[in-house]
Amino acid sequence: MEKSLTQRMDWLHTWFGLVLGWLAFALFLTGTIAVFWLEIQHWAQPELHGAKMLSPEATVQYSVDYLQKVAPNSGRWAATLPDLDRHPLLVLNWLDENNAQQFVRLVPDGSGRKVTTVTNGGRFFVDFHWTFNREVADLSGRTFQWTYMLSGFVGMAFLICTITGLIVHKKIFRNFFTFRRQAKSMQTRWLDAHNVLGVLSWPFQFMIVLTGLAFYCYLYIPTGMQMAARSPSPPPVAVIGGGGPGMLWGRYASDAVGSVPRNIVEPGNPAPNVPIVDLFARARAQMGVLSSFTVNNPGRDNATVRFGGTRARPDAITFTSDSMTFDGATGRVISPAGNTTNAVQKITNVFGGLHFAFFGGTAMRVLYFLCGAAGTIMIASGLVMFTAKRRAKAKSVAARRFYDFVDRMNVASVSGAMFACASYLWALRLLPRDLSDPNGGFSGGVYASIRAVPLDQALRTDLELYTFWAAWGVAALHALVRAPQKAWAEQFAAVAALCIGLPALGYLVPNCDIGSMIAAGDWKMVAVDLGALSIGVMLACAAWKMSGKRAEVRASKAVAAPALQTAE
Amino acid sequence: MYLLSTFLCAYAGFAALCAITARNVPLVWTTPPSRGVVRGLRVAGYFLLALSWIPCYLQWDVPMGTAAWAMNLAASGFALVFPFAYAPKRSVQAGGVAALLAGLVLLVS
Repeated sequence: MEKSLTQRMDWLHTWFGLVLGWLAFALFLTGTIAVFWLEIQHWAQPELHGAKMLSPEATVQYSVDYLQKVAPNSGRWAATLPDLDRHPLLVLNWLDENNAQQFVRLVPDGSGRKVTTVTNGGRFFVDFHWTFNREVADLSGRTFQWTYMLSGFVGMAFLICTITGLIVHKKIFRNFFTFRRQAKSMQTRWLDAHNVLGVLSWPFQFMIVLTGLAFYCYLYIPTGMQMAARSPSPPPVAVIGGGGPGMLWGRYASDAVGSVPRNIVEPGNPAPNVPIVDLFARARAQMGVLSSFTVNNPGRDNATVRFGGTRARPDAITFTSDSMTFDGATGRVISPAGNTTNAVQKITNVFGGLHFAFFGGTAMRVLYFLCGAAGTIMIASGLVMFTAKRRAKAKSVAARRFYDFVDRMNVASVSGAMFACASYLWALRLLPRDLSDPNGGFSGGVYASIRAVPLDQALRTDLELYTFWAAWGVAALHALVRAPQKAWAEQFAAVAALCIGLPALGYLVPNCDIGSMIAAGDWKMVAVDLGALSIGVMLACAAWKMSGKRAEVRASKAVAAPALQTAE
Repeated sequence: MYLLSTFLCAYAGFAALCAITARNVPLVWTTPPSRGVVRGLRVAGYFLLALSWIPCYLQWDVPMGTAAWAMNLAASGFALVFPFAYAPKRSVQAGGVAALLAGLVLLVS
C-alpha cells in the first residue's frame, strides 16, 4: 500500500532527526552560547575585568599617542578599536624599521596595561558550530573540507526537519497550548514538550538555519568558487575584510592581531598632520560606529588615514563594509563613505546579520539566546522521544539492542556536549596565562582550530580545545558503560556542578571574582558567571528529577503522613 | 522597558486565545463561555498579539523590531504554556493583569 504524504514526511522527520540530531544538538548548543561570544571573550581575559574604559575619541587619541611613542617613523599604523559595550580590547599594529609587523593588545583605559591572555574564549563556540574546530584554510570554499560540509549537511537536515515537522504535526492550532505534564504515557509528555518548543519558536528555527546555510552557501556549493579559482586570481585586497563573502571577519576577528598590508607607498617629507581624532569625529559623523583606522606614512606630507565602519552594527540588521579615507596632511576626503557592495553581497550581509545577531543590543541577544535554547531543548526532546515511543513496542532482541544504543548515543550527544562546554569554561578560567602564545596567537581567519602537538609544546589555546574534546570523550565513554537512566542523571549533575562552581572558580584567579566585579560595575563579566550559575541550578533540578530521588521523597512523605495522623 | 511591555502584551494575547481553545475550556472555565465571550476573547487575543509589535517598533524600528517581535512571541508563549500545565486558571487570569501592566509599562517607557 502506498504511504501517504504525512507518513513519508514522518519517516523523514524521524530518521533525519535522529541520526543528524546527535550532531545538531551540539551545533545548536554551541550556536546558542555563541550569541554571547564577545561577552565570554571578555570574561576569559582577566586583564580587561573591571577597567574603566576611555571614550571612543579618547581611545583613538590614546592609540595615536601610543603608536607615536613606540613607532614614530613607521610606514604604517593600524588599530582595531574596542567594542566598548561588549569586548573592550584595543589591538594596535605597526610596521617596524625592517617592515616587520609588530603588535600590542591593550586595555583601553589609558593605563598602558597589556592583555597577554591569548584564548579561544567565546569565539570557540562560534567556530565549533560550523567547523568542528577543523581549520578552514580557504574561506572562499575552493578547497573541499568535510567539517564545514558536515555542519552544512546537518543544517540542511534540520531545515528539512522544520518543514516536515509542520506537515506531520497535524493539529497545530488545536494543540497550540498543549503540554500534558501529567499524561500517563511518557511519550505524550515528550511529544508535547517537543511540539510546544518547536511550534512556538518555529519562525526563529527556520530563520536561523536558513540564514546560516545561505550565508555560507558559497562553501556548501563551491562550484562557482572552484571555477573562479581556475581563472587568474584577482588582485589581493589591500585591507582586511575589504569586501566579498569573507568581509565579516573585520569586526568578527576583534581578538586577532591582524596583519598590516605591506603595499607601502614611499614615505614623503615630514609634515604636520591633521589630528587623527578630528578626522575620526568626521568619519564617525558619516558612518556611525567605527571599528578600525589605518594610517599610511604618519607624520609625512603623503599621509593617508582610512577609517573602517564596524561591519556588524548595533543599529542595523545587515553587515556593512563602509570606509572613508582622508589625506592626513590636509584633511581632504580622498575616498568618501558609501557602501559599494553589490546586490549579492547586500543579500548575503542581511543573512549574515540575522544569523550572527550583533544588532539590537543585549535585549535582542537575550531573545536569540532564549529561542536558541528552545531549539536546543527541542532537539534533545525529539531524540529522547525516539526511544520513548518505540522501546515498549520492541519485540526482538535486536530492536531492544538498537534502542539501547540510541539511548546511550543520546546521553553522549546531549549531556556529553553540555559537559564538554562546561569543562571548556573551566579550562578558560584555570589554564595559566603564561601558556599563551607570545606571538599573539591568531592572524585572522578561523582561529579556534585544533592541531596535534605534544602536550609539553601545547599553547593555552591548544589546551583549551583538548579539554573540550577530552571532556566529551570521557562523557561518551561514561554513557557507553553506564545504564542510560543513571548516566543521564550523573552527567546532568556533573554539568550542573561545573556550571554552579564557575563563579566560585573566579576567586582562585586574580581579578576574576564576582564580588569585586560587581563592585567595579563590570556587568558583562558578572552576567556570564550568573548565567552559568542559573543554568547550573536548572540542570541540577533536572538531574534531581532524573535520578528518581524526587519520587522517593514523595513516596516517603506519602507513607509518613498516615503515620502522623495515627499518632495524633 | 519596551521589551517588557511587548512581552506582557503578547502574554495577554496568548492567554486570551488559550482560554478558548477547546481542549483548555474545561480547565479554565467552570461553565463553558458563551459564543460572544469566545468571539470577544479571540478578537482580543489576536489584537493583543498584533499590538505587541508596537513596543518593538518603538524600541528598534521596523526591521529589527519585527525580528524581535517574532522571537518575543515565542518567549511569551513559553511563559504561558509551561505554567499553564501546573495552574491553568491562574495562568490565564494573569493575562488580564499582563494586559494592564503592558499598557502601564509602555506609558512609563
